[in-house]
Amino acid sequence: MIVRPILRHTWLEVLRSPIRLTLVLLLLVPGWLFGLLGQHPQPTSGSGFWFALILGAGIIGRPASNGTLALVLSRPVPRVSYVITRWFAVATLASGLALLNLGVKGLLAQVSAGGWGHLGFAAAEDVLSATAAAAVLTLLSSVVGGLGDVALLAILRIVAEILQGLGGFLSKPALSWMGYHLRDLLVPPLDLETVFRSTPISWLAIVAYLSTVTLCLAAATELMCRREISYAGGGD
Amino acid sequence: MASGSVRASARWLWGAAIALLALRLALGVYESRFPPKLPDLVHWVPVADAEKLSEDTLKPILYVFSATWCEPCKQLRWEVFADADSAEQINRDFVPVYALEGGEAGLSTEAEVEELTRKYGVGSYPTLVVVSSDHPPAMARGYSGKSAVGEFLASGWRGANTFGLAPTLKGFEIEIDKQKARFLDGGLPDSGPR
Repeated sequence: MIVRPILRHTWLEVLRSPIRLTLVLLLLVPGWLFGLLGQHPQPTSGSGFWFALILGAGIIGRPASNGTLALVLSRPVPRVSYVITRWFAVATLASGLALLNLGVKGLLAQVSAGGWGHLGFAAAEDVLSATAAAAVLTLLSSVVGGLGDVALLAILRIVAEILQGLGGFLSKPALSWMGYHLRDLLVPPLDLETVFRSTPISWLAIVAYLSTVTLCLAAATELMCRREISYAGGGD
Repeated sequence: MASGSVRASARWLWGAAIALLALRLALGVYESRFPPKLPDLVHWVPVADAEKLSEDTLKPILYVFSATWCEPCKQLRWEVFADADSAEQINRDFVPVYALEGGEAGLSTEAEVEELTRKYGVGSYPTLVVVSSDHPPAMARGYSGKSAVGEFLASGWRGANTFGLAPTLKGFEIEIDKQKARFLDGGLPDSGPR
């Protein structure tokens, strides 16, 4: 399912992009500097989504726009494998960076023995967040070319917030419900501490997360399988 | 159906996605009837006792306006009121009052909540209002995460009095209550720019 040359190529492609690297460093370094300067806030989850967004922007749309997608798919590579491999590459890289970020912050903050449990939850949440964000971007990137997936994500997120706000303001539960679930679909949340501390365990949160990720990937692979690509023109 | 094996659909993925979606819907129905419970660590005070307790302890009252149908309110309750650190902060610094739309047995009646909603001009859920004797009431609408609530409860609500303006904290809209603002205009010396 995972095509190793595509996986390696995607990692290198992402890591060789100066803009992406700059954004990654901007996300990493300030927190570490604060840690070195003696500011030691409790490390929390949250960076996984942003690393996925930076690394996964245009994950399918960019190669589709610049013609490399046609080049890769002119070889006997199953399109499903291509999509899954690209998603996996972004998810692993973003998760790795999020774990590195949390680990360094944890060391700088000299987290107490009890705090490592909280840090463990934060690390797992970051990995899950990066994996889900990469899946959402893979779907959006299969719909629009270039970096349009990020714009689409931002627009849909704003729509979700507006619906939620309107629902609350107008006391229309249906609007609020739609906005809330659209937001969850775009940025699937999984607060593991809450999930595992509730009695009984909220399996809905776990299943909802897995459902969103699989639906995004299934839809992305389907869109790619049905896509007509012109191999002569170098693009679609 | 696309032709050729390289364009074959991922049936296993669709199978998993559809099975998980069905399970998600079923669990959604089940958990709406039998919601998992988290230990709510905030010591909520009945509406009727709040003002007296606030006077006795010199702590401001924290009103949390909520509704059963409001999803962000549930998230607020799960992430903040069931969190040991946040709950400790609230119990230590405030007289907490949970004003649930329609009232809640042992804590509030429908009439009490309606009166508070009118008094503080609450138009959306969730809304947090901090009322103290020496500050104008500060209001935070919506829920943008645990840290934003922590920031508002730690110091954000005091900002409304310090500058006489309505500062914004991470998506929160903090407003001076109109009635109190009118009272301040007439009754207290100007404490800063408006």
